[in-house]
Amino acid sequence: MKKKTDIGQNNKLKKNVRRIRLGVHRNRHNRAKVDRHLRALYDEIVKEGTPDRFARLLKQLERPQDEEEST
Amino acid sequence: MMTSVQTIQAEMLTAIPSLRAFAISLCGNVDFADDLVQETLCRALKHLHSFQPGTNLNAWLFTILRNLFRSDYRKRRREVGDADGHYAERLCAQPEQDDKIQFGEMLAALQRLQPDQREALILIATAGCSYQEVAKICNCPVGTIKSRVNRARMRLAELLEIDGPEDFGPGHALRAVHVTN
Repeated sequence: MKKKTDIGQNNKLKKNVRRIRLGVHRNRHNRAKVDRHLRALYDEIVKEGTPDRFARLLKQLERPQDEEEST
Repeated sequence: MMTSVQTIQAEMLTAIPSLRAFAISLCGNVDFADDLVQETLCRALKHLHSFQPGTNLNAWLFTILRNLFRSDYRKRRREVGDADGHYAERLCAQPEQDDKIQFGEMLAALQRLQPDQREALILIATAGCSYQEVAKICNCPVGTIKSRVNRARMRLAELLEIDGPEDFGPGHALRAVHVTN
């Protein structure tokens, strides 16, 4: 009688451990996936390069900064 | 002295695409983001003397942009939360996007994160910063950054219905079926 409940509890425990392991695995997997999707977006934006307005801006500012106040 | 200033300016030019990517992910709107980038560059050039050569220029620029975004600049401009759908569509117009989460969806989901968590996640997951660098940028302990990033990832996974080992959660699978039909 005792043995049976022991086995039952043991099985339950094993099941829980498996569930937790699966959960941890799944969480890790999901987090990696979030990062991957986020990076895809980021990379896509980076690929757009530098819009003209910034290149122009920096070129303007490249000149000796004697007209600092005018901009 | 002059040459070092010029090198920093040249480096700044190469940093702009990442700076934009950070700004757009952060505020979800391309026009707002580009204004932020411009303001960041102006400030950086004005305070060039406070940059220590040899340290990470990108991290320095991210710090300026992040502080600008958090300051009254955000309030002065426009309310956050309006992810730029048109811009996302433009990005999405490229092929081989079918197995990815739509960029618009991602931008919108990012806007629903708490700002603290959002900035930490973007900096860690995409901008290639270390936890130490992000802690410095956000002016808080490394442990705080770690837990923010963790919470941000879990929340994003929830919002995007990312779950389980298959590429999409049930929501996405269903949506994909509707789209293809």
